[in-house]
Amino acid sequence: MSAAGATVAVSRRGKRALSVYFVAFVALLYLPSVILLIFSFNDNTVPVFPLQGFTTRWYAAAWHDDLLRAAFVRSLKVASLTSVVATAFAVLASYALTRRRFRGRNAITAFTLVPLVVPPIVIAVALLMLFRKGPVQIELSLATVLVGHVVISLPYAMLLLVPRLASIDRSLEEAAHDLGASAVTTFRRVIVPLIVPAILSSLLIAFVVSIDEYAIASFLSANSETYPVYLFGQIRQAQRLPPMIPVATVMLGLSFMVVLLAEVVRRRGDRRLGLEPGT
Amino acid sequence: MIAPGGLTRRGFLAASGLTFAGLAAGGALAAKKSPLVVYDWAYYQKDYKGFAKFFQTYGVPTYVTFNTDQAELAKAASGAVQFDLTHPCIAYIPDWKDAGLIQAIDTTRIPNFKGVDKSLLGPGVVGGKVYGIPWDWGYSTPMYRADKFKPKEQSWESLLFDKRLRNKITLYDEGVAIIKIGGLINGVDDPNAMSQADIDKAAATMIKAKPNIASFWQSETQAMQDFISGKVWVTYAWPDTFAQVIANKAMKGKPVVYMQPKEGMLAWICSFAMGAKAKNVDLAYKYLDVAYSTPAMEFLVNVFYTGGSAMTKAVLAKSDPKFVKQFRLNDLQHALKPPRVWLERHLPNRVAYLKAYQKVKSA
Amino acid sequence: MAEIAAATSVPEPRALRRLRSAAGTLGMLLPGTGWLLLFFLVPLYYVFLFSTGLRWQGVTKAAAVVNGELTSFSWSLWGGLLGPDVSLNVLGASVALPLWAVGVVEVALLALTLFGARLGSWGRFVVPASLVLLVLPYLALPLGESLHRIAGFTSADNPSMSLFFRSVSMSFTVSLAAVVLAFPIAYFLAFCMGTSKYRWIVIVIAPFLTSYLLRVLAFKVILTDQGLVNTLLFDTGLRSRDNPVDWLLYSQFTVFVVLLYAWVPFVALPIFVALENQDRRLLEAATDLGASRLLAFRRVTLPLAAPGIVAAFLFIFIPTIGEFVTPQLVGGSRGYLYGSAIADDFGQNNDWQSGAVLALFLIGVVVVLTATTSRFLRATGGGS
Repeated sequence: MSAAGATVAVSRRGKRALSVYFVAFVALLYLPSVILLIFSFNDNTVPVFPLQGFTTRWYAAAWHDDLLRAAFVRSLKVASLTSVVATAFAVLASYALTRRRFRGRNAITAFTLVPLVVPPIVIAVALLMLFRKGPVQIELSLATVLVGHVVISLPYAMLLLVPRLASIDRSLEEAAHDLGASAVTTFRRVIVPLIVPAILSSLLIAFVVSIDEYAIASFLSANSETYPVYLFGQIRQAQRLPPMIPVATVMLGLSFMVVLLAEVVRRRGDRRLGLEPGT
Repeated sequence: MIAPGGLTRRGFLAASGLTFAGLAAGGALAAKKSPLVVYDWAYYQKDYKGFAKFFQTYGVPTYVTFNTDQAELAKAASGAVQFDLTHPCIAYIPDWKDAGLIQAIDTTRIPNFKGVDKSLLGPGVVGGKVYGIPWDWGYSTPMYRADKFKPKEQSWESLLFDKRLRNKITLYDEGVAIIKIGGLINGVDDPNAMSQADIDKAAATMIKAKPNIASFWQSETQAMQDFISGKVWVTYAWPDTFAQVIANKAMKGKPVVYMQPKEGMLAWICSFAMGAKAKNVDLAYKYLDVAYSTPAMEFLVNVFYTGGSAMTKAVLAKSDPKFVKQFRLNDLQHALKPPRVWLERHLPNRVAYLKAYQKVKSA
Repeated sequence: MAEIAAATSVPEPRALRRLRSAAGTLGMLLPGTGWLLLFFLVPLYYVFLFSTGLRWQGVTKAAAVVNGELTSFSWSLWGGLLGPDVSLNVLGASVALPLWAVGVVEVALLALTLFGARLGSWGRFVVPASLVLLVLPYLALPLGESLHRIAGFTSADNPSMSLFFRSVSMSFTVSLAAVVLAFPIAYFLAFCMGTSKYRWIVIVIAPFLTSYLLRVLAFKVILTDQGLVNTLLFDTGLRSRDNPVDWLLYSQFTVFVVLLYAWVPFVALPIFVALENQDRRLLEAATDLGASRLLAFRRVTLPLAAPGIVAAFLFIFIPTIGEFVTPQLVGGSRGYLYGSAIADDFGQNNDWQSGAVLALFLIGVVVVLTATTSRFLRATGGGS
C-alpha cells in the first residue's frame, strides 16, 4: 500500500475520507455473508433470529450430500470454461473493432452488447426452442448450458476490453511496427501486457456471472443440474435449506484462500527476483 | 511490463489447482446407483428414508427436481427432461397425457396399491385408463399467529380485508389458487368451474385485497421464515408447513391456528405417473411398490405431516393420533368433500385463471 | 548486400495486403460474433416466430388451440401490447399519448442529450434541457412501499406497458445511485492503493462467488420487521417495538436496495478500468500548471473517465430493466416488474407467445438505446 501522503490525485484528508467510505462499503458488502456464516452454525431449520444454539451438523450434512457436491462441481466446470472462452473471443473481437477500420464497426460493437439486455430467461427459452424445436435436435447437457453462459458473458468481457484497448496509445504500436515487429508480435508483446488487468477482470466477471446463473441452467441442463438449480429446488423444503448455507460460506473462504495463496506465491517470486514488496 | 501485484498468472493457477484437487479428493464414496430417473419434488428424493428398501435393493435413482406444476409441465413438454417416473399434482394429469408425456399405469403390477383408498382414484383416470396414481395429499388453507391477533371470523374474507392485517399476509404464488380464493370469497358454486365472468370478478377482489398481501411466496422456506420472524401473521399453508412451524424452537409457546375458513379450504392430491419414453419400466414399478408400502406412507405422515393415499391400519397405527384426527387422515372418504374442502380438479380453462392472476400481480 | 536486397525487394502488392488484413479482421471477429449469430440471433428469430403465432408451444395444433395460443401468423399479440395509448402523468395532471409518439420523442431527446454539444452555442442550452426532459419521467424516490415519481408513464388498459415504464424508472434510479456510490470506490482503488489494488478488487468481488439466492435470504434477515435495521431503531429509541418500519422488506425500496448491493461492486469495475489507465502525468502536468486538485479532477480526470462512466451506467441500467429474480425474492406483491411478467409467462402461466412479445419489445428498446449511446462512446473513447 502506498504511503499515507497526498498525491496529485487526492489530498491527505481526501484519502482518509475515501478510506473510511471504502471500509464502510466493504463492511456492508460482507454483512449478508457474515449473517450466512452465523446461520450456518445456527441450530434451527429456518434462518431467523433469535439464534438457537451452535451446531456443525449442517456442515456435516453438506459434506455428505453427494448430489450437492456433484452439482457444485458441474457449476465450477461450466464457469471456468465460460470465462476462458468468453474472454478469448472478446479479446480478439475488441482488438479488431478498435484497430481496424471497416464499415459497420459501431453496429457490430452494439451487437456484441445486446445479450446484456435480454433477460437470461429469454435467452434460455430461445436456446431451448432452437435446440428442441429447431432444425437439428440437440440433447441438453452442460454443453448447452455453456453455450448460453458464453452468450451472456461475452458482453461483459467486451465492455471491459473495448474501452481499455481503445485508450491504449497508438504510438506504442506504431513504434513497435517501425522497429520491425509483425502485427502478431506487437499484439503479443505490446498490447497484451497492457491489457492484462482488463483480461483478469473479464475472466473474473465471466466466472462470477456463470457460477450463480439460474435461468439458463435450469432450462438447458436437464438432468445435470448446476448448483443454483439444485439450490432453488432444495429450498422449497425448509429442512433442506440449512445444509445449503455452508456451501456459501465455504466458497467465500475458498476465494480468500485463493487470494492469500496468490499473494504468497507472488511475494516469493518477487523475493527471488530481488524485488522488495510494496514499492 | 508490470505484472499486477498479488495476482500473477502463476499464483492464480496454483491456487485454483489446489482448490480443484481438494474438491475432487473428497466425495470418493458413492452409494450404489440405479439407472431409474425420478422427476420428483425436492422433499421426496434420496433422503426419503421411507424408500430405503428400494435404495438398498436396487440402488439410489437419479432425481431431477420438480419445482412447480406449471413450469415443470412446460419444461417436460418441450423435451428438456428425460424421466421414468414423475410426480405432478393430479389436476395436471390430463395435460401430461395430452402432451404425450406419460403412459398408462398397470396398477396390478403394484402389490401395495391395494392399500390405496378408492375414492381418490377418480381424478387420475383419463379415457378409462389410469395415468396418475394418487400418492400424497393435503389442504391449502390460512394459518395464523393467534398470539398476534384474533380474526373477526374464520374466513378468507375476514383475513384479506381486515385493516389490522395490512402487509401481514403472504400467499402462495400460484395463479389458480389465488383466483380460486377470490372466487370463494365472491361465493361461486364451484371454484373448479368458474366462468370468465367469475374469474374477472375474482381477480378484481384479489386486487382489492392486495394492500394486505405483503408477498407471494415461491418456497415454503420463504413463507415459514416470514411467519416465524413475525413479518407476516397469516400465511397460505399446507399441513406440513403447519407442523414444521409449531415444531420450530422459535415458536415455542406461541399459538398457531390452522384455519378452517367458512368459504372452504383448498386441497390437492399429487400423483405418480410413468413417463411415455421411460427406459426402466420394470424398475419403476418396483419403486412404486415401495412407495405404497407402509414405511413410505408412514414416513409421509410422521415426517412430512402430509396425508398419504394408502392410509392402511398399519400406517395409522404408527402415526401421531393428533395429526390423524386434525387432518382426518383416517377418513379419506369424507376428508376431501365440498363445501368444507374444495379438492383440485383439472381445469379446462386454466389459462384464463392464469391470465387473470397476471392482472392481479401487475396491478 | 542485405541492404541492397532490402532496398530493392518488391513490397507486397497492396491488394494482397488488404485481403490478408481483411481476412485477419474477419478471423478475429468470427469466434465472438459467429457464436452470437448462431446462439443468440437465430434463437431470437424463433422467439419472433412464437410471438407472431408461427410457432406454438402445444405438442399438436389442437393442444395449442386448447391452450389459447395463436396457430397462424398474426400481429394480434403485438397489437395488444403496442396499440393502447399511454398517459403521461405530471404532478396529478395527465395527458394521453399514442405509444409511437412517445417512442419517437424519447429517441430524439436521447440523441439531443448525447450529441447536442455539437450544436455549438445552442448546445449549452439544448443538452441540459433535453437531459432533464428525458430523465424526468424516470426519476423516482423508492422510499416506502412504492416508487414516488414526479412524472411517469402509465397505461390503464395495458398493465404490461405500465409495468415496463415502472421498471425503467426503477432501473434508471438504481443505475444513477450505483454509479454515484461506485465512483469513490473506483477512485480510491485506482489512485490511493498501490500494487495491492487487484487484491482488493478480488476481495470486493468475492462475496459474489456465493449464491445470490442465499445472500438475498440474509438481506431479508437484515430488513425484516424484527431484523437488524429495525432492532437498531428500537435500541436507539427511534421507533417503538410494536411499530417497526414494515416497508423495508417486500416493497420497491427493498428491490432498490438489494439491486444496489448486487451491482455497485460490478459498476465500480469499468470506472476503475477507465481511471486506472489514465496517464498520471496528465494530472501532474495540470497541477504543475497551477491547477488545484479539484480543478484537475474536474477538467482532466472526469472527462477522460467519461466513457468509462457511461459504460458503467449502461452496464447496470440495461440488464436491470429485465430483472426478475430480485423482485421475485424481495419485491413482494407490489414489487412486480416487467422482467417478472416475462418470467411468469415462461414459467407459471405457460404463455410463451405473450412472453415472446414482451421479451422482443424489451430487446428492441434497448437496441435503440445501445446503438445511440455506443456512437457516443466511439466518438469520445476512440480518440486519444
